[in-house]
Amino acid sequence: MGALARYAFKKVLIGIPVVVFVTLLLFLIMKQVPGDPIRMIAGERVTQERIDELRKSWGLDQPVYIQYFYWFAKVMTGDFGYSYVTRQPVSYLVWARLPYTLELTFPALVLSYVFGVPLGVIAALGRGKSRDYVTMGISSFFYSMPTYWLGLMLMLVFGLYLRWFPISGSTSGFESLVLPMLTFTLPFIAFSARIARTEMLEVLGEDYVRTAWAKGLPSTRVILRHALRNALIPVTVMFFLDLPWIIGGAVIVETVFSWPGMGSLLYKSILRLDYPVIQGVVFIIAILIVICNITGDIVSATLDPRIRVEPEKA
Amino acid sequence: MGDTLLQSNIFTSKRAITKIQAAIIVVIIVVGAIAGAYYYSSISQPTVQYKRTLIIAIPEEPENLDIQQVSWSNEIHDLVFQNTMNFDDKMNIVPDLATAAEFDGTSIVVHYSEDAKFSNGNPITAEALRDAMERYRTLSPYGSDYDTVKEVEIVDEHTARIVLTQPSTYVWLNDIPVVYGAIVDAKAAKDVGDAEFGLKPVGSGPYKVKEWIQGSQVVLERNDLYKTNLPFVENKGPNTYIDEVIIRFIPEDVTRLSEIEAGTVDIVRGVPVDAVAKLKTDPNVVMYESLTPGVEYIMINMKKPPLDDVRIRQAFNYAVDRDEIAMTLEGTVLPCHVYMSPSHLGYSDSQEELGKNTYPYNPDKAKSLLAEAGWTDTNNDGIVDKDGQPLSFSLMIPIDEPREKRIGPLLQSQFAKVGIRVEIREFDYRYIRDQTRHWNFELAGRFYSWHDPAGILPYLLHSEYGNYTYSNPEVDKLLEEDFLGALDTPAKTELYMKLTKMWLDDAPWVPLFVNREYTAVRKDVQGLHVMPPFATLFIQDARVIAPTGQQISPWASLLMNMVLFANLAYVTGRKDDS
Repeated sequence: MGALARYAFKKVLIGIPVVVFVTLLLFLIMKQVPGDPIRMIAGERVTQERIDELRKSWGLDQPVYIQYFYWFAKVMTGDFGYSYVTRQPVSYLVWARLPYTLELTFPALVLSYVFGVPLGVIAALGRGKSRDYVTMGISSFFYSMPTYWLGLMLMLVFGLYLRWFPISGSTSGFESLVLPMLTFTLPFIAFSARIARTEMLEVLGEDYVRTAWAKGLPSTRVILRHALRNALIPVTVMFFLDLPWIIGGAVIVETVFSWPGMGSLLYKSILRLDYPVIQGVVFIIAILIVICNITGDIVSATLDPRIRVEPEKA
Repeated sequence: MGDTLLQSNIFTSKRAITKIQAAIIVVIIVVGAIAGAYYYSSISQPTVQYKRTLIIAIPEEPENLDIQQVSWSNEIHDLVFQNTMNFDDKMNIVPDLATAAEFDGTSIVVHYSEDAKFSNGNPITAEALRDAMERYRTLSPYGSDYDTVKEVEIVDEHTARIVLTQPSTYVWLNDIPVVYGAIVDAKAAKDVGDAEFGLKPVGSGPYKVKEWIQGSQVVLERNDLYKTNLPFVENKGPNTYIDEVIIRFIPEDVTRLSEIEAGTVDIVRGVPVDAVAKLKTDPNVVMYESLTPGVEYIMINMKKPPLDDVRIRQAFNYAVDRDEIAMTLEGTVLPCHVYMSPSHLGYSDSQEELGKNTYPYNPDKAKSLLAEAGWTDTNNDGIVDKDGQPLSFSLMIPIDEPREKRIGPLLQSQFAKVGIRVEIREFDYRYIRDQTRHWNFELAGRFYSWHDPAGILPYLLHSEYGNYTYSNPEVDKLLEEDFLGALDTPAKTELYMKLTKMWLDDAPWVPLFVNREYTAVRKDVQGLHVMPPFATLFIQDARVIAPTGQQISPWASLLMNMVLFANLAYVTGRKDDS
């Protein structure tokens, strides 16, 4: 375990410059985007002097590298600055949305694993049989369906006609979570099922699985210990790599169901050139990516003893 | 043994029952009687039941709840703040928070009643007005509104005199009767800081902020200290029928419409074009309609050749078939040939008449103007050309303005008919606004909305205030007359008629249409006022009738079912015995 801790520590150390670099790059790119944030915010009836005043008060008249330096120095003290548009602290805006994002994405993650993997295994074991076609047909359906459309259909059927769940919003507790979560999760379940099936098929063809069958081991043991455990490794890795994108990328689901997550915050901020909020959200996503990568490495290392956490000494 | 016999006699059963069984039966009967009484009382009550919460769905979340920190106001600000004066349905200025206000050209005297209070209980005084105006000047993007204000004199505790630097109608028309000029408790703002005040501002409107769930909704609760002098509302105090107003942010059109169809929201703002016809036939929905005080138009870059040639700009104006556009938009717009809307102060019908006569739909005239400018179709590809160059422009269309987005291709085909090639580029409106200001465009779909032309047109058509590509010194001079001068409505009307003529000649824009704004309201909502110029909602007299039918609480119905079931079981049991 000591080796694992050291490995994780080293990864974290590498992660820090990555996060810094990402924010710097983003800062430079944003400044190249044509358009003036102050103009974008201000309405029509605003004089040029007022615009200049506002620009100065936000520090936008400074050179880019100084702006970045100020931003970074402040972030180090936990201050993400204020949104140009809402004039609220960025940390407040992000923290207000983070729980909703986690509420939506965490179940999606767990369910896609809990349902996706067994479905994939069932399909693989019954390869070429009807259950394979049925499982894979359904998962192809959900995987290829545009999120926007799936969301609207679920909303119209279960929200408007059957009235089982609220149509949109986030204030009716668990009930309001069901439809957005389904919209978000179904394609992920389908995706995991397809990967699990492919991996499982590959592993089932391996020599050591054949050997296990030949040894006369009980089939559950062959499937669960010999085949599944190995098939799970790529599924797991994929999973952790996807995680950060899930958090930032739920914009469509959030829009359809008026779900106040981080995706829509990021999207809206980009349209409004609200630099401080974009920086804040991307900073958090960058950190999440680093954490997820490390976790992914560690998990796959525990699943697969062949992946060593420490290079062998020569 | 004797006890058991006695009980069995009471229940006239041949078989003896135990004490426990007897107790259960008694409990069932008592509970059944109570539930029955509850049930009958609930269905026999003839009085109308009111829903205590009003739910309004709007497309976009406000930037901030403090009216002094936003660049656009919305329904929440209208409910949390109270205009000093207001507009009635004829656009007359009538009292709201103030009991009266007098305007003499160089000063505005505002009178408050002695018991006027903010929602937090602080008194509204002349001093409070001065502090609020000072805060607006430094904090709001529109702070320069008060450039014509010299000082705020405190006449007495409840009377303030706003002294102007020169004769000007600007503050009187653009701040006093609109929500941006509404009073805020500047002292409270100072105590908590502007960021905190932006989440929970203090005004004197009929409701106050209870909670803002970021990205989701704002919950307002009744301000019990509210008082108004509005002549068109009956109830001049707090609305005791509605305890809470929930304003939900639902950006997706389909979602917003589904909510009102299901009756889970009471009022929907920002009704999309496609849904207007359907909602108008919905028996459960009442539609309110109002004309926007503004115009949707194509701005032309006059600094970019060959668009600096007036004949080409005029050709655009002849080439547009505004009736076809209105038809495509299913009648949700009013065709418009001029630079102002019928909802404007200073508008007259002769403006539109002049516009219509100047630029009737006439593709032949457009073609001949292009030919006059040297543009003819020499290679027979349908596009006019000059020196081997086809006449081709890019048109920026705002994706977040649904009507313009929808007619983009139609405009393209109308221009193609006269030989002008137009390529459509879609952008966010804020970006288009920014780019047009930097003269970085050829044609751009734009719009504006503001009730006093003096408060908006100089920013769009004056060469310095707006700094767009149009510049005509004579127009500048006339615009300045109204911008800083004291014009009453007849003089205003005359002035803008003159300006309209000049604009039509110079053709810096291609005016297209005036929007009709729709508010969809459930039939159960009664007593709502939707007032011009911004279709503002006044809910002082509103009541929401609870859905009809027998309303039994889920617990009562569960209890009733249990009692019914128990009775049934008992009776069946008895039958088996005998």
